[in-house]
Amino acid sequence: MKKILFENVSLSRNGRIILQNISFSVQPEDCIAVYGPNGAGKTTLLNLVNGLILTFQGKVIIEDTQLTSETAHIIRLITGYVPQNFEVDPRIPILTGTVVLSGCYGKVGLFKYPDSKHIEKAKEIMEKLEILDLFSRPFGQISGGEKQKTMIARAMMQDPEILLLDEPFSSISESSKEKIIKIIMDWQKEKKLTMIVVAHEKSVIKKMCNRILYLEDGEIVSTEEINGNS
Amino acid sequence: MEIHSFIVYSWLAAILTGLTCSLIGVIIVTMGISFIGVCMSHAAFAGALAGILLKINPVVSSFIFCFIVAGILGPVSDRGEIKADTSLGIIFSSSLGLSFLLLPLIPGSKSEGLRFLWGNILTVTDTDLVIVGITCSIVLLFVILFFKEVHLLIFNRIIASATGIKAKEIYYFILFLCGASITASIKAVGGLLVFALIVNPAAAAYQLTYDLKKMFFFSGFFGILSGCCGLLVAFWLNIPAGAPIALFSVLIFIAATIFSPKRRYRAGK
Repeated sequence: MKKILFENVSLSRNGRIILQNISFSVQPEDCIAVYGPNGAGKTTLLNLVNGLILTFQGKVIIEDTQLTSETAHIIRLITGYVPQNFEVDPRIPILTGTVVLSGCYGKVGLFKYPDSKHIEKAKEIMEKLEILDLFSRPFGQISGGEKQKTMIARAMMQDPEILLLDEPFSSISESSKEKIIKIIMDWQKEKKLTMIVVAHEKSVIKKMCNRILYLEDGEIVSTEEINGNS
Repeated sequence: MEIHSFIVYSWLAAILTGLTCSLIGVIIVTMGISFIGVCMSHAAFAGALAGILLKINPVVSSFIFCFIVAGILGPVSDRGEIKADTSLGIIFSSSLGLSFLLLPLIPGSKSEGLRFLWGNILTVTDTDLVIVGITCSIVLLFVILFFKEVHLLIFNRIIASATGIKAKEIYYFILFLCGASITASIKAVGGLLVFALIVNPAAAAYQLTYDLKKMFFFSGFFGILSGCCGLLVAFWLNIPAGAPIALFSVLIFIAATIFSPKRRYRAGK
């Protein structure tokens, strides 16, 4: 249950403007969508919220904490992140269950390892997302949709207060999509999560979000309220 | 040195260098940064030559050169202004160029300098053994204490950072450990061949399992096996041990690839 505030945030890389004068806020328990063409700066915006990018102008404030190199670590611990579908080496030595379990590694801390309670929790989450049978399968060998479900499960395992979803359903079948949206929305209500979703499908946005930010060439060109999702 | 001690020292050096390089090799190979090993080994050689010229301990100067390279590689690849393979290429060619520049400047016989290129496990001293022993202990402790962080870093550095792990600091430490492992092993195996002990046992283990813990066990075993078999051949043929150690690690890799369950899995798909 955290508020997110962007104040005149600008970012450029190698002379190219990625984000320009971005200001918006997300109230606790709200879910906003970021919509726009490829290269508009949507993923960069998400990476600013979870402190993966620290070289920017302006202010990013999470509740009362301003994002700096000193505070980034604390912000990352409370921010769950589901990245765009990414490819890994099919022979990578990591099992799907370990990927899910790794969500709690940050909170478990240095020199400590997840215990049986963590493993039980990981299995419960995987069962909910119907991927428990993948627990002992190599992550590199599962399908794109299964990988996305695994990354959602990993974010749930982190037990975050803010959830960032970057095109989380792009490889998931239509039949599974409905179920997973419902699981995420129930989870949001239960944990009072603040959410930002990057999505290309308006149908997904309308089901999940109460506001849309339209982003083009790194600028917010308009916003739209969605009734009924507040 | 008595004959008895020299044999014991050689075996200990073979076991310790085999283990040290093959353990750090697992991290380097699975993270897809194997070429860093090549860069480091050439930097270590250039450092050793600089040490001989400046009349300081060549192992100490090797450490310094490797640490400088590690200190440059991490931030340069992180900033993304220069591609990682480009920065590695520049550092590699600089180290090689510096080595060829320094080697002719060594007065008299070049054998002391070339010793660091080819290595000679039969001439390791007790100080060399202490250095490789300490490095091996640090690598082992690191793998045990930071296993989960290393595992997540191998999976994806961005995800590791997003989870709240100090991914950047751990990555930089891995680069420093890689430099330290190479420097500690260079006198025994040589700057040219130490790369074989870093990559080949880990690459062989990579063929056999999806479980990172097992990979560390297999790789460590293959590293020690390469070291010991190479040393036996060196004793038998009365040649420097670096080459047979490297060749044994290649043979193990070929065998692992032939019997790889992953290969069979892919072929059956």
